[in-house]
Amino acid sequence: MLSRVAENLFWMSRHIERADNLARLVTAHQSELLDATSAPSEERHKWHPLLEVTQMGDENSKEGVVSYMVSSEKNPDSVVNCVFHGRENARAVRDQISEEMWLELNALWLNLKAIRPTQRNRHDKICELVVQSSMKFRGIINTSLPRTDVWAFVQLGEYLERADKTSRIVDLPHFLPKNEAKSAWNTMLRASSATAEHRQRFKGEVNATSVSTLLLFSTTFPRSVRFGVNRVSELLHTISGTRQGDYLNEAERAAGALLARLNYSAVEETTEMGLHEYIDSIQVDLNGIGFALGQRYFLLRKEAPETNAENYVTSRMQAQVRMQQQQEEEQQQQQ
Amino acid sequence: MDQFGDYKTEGFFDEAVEEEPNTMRSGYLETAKFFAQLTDQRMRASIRSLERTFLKAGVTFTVYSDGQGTERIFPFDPFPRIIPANEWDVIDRGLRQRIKALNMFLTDVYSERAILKDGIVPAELIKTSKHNRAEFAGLKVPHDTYIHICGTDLIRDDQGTYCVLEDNGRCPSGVSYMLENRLAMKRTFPELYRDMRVEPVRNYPKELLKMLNSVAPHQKDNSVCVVLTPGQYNSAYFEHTFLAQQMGIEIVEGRDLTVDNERVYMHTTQGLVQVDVIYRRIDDEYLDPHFFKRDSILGVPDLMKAYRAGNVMLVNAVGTGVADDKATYSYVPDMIRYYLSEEPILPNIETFLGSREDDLKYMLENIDKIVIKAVDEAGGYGMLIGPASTKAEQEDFRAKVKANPRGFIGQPVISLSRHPTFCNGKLEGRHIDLRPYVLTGSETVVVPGGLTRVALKKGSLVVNSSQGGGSKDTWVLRGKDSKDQPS
Repeated sequence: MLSRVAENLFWMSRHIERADNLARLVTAHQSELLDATSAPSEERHKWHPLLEVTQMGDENSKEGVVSYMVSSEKNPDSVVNCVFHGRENARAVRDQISEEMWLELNALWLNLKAIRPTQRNRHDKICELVVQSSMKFRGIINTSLPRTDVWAFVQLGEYLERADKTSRIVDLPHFLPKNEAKSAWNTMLRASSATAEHRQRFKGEVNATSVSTLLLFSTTFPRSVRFGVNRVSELLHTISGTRQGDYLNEAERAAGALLARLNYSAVEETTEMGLHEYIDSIQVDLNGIGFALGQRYFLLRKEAPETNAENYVTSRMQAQVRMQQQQEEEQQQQQ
Repeated sequence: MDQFGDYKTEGFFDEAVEEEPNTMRSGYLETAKFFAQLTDQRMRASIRSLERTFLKAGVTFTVYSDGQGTERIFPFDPFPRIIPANEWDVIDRGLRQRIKALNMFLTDVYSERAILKDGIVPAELIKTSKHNRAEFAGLKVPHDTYIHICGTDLIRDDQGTYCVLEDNGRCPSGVSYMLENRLAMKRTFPELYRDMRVEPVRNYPKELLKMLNSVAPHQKDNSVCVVLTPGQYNSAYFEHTFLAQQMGIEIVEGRDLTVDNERVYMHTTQGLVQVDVIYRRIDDEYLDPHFFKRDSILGVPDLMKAYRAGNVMLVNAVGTGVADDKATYSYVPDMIRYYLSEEPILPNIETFLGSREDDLKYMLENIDKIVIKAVDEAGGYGMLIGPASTKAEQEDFRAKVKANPRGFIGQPVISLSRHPTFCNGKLEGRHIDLRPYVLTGSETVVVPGGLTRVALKKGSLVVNSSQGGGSKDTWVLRGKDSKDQPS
């Protein structure tokens, strides 16, 4: 498979997963706010923790935090922008994915575009569409995509992003005033579709330990961090043909190391180290896996290797702009 | 419904209706009847369903006026253009004759130069052609084929004679619309399609792949062929992926390829894989930054070294632009006579060359009455339609032509034939052209059909999609002796 194709498959999947997770988080938080007793004037303040936990920066513009997270064109990681980028990635590899996958993403994009800026509850509508369509998209992948490397890179994007986002969601209480932490646990469970699973396992007692146990360390719950990292490690080994436990490249090593940490961590470790600090360290490791994966499979020979992940992203974006300009220039010759 | 109600040909050659007496031409009677018996409601529903099909499938071109790009569907008219078998036979033979002469001309120009020495085509004209690639003279290409894919633009004059307007021998586009239009028509009006016995076009991708394989440098069983695209911001990107997908081959960008030891490789997750044939949808100048345009990031450094060494074949070959220079165009009938000792089956449009003194004088004196075209531009750029232009535009072109006579040609304004087209639920005449596709590797294949472009604006002669053009499906009817097979 072409390196560029692998990169687009990975990012298609990752962008859709990112949009999905953010939409879930916004919806869950919204629902908790409805039960809160505070005055509407504090609403903006109430949304800020979400900005921090998703690392979207500080947004104080008039359009408001929800709009910034969901539909803003200025925010590269807004729900709508993620869908846009995911669809662009899909378009770049239309010949590699199943027809139904493309039709679903294209339909989602057209449906989002059709929502008028003035429509009431427009952000609820967007989030609902994205979550529904993302589930459908995963179902289509499951039933229509052959289990080749195409599938493996699609799955990698999904599980790496989900592990990252779930870990961020668990970090939410850190950004809230102490007395509100309890309502955050409900948000976390709801955003991760984990309410029912949690109820069954912990009989209704919601606290930091129970939520962390489920969302960070569960081996059976498909949105937990450990579940995701396990899948990432398996997929990396499938692609290279290496046995689990061995490693052939840095991505496999990093995934194996993080998996071992999660496998042998007890939930007590998170309280000793501090939950926020523990999650921070997991996120550093997840970024490391993503970076090593890009170095091994996506980086094209002609481009100079970059020393860190951030430079890499910036230089790719600049290259993209130059590419776009020249393609438009060349087009003048078109017959 | 009676869409033909007060249909008028208004003195133009009409594809469907003969003016005197006011009757339907061959092949159109059944189709007109079919549309007449459809209710308004079914017709509107059909048009909506056609448009939705195109939009959902992403058969679009992109206009980048805002950051995220607006996708438009290429407007589609459901009334098919119908070409009877006997008419198509003439077109088919004419296209084969023409492509044969063009390839012999290119082989000659890049080797013996006999046609220049014999004074049939002026050597000066070739020397000064922008797309002349003298550096590649003497390079032997498989089967002496330079133009593997040709998208000849045909128009019909006021007598209904098919004439060649342009040869488009560099990177002609639009073939995906021919295929998608057909799929959409078959889905929407299956009963009409079946009754009309239409020649299928669906073999095009198969024939294209067969042709690509036939020009692979070192003939082997499994040559690696790829489609080289400028990238997803190109307005024809949908077509590039569509063709790659239909052929089951990789679509690559310049940055996916690398040249090592005069061989071309693509960069895959499992390492480097050698590439034998590149169907490139990039113009010559952008192919290799070490050879042509230095700042090209769409191309592949040293690609020309591998090409010259004969380790990779480019489709179309490098340097075909010298044959589709609009000044060279005027010599194609002479080429046919020179190389084939035949008379041209499809005539040219009368053409005045700025490089000929008398012609230049005529062009400058009649600039308000004729069409002036730059010889090396495409896609409707660098063109002046005299009668439809302002005094200022005429003066601008007059100065340009005077400064560079070799760079311009003049042609009379041809009133393209018209075709019934749905305009607000009624049929009106609109101007059309026809682009059939000709494939040549070891042999020539002409796909029975093509892209019919239609100028949707009333009175407009410009069929380009950027200027209000749309398309129709093109139905070549099967002859009496052709096998009646389902398609």
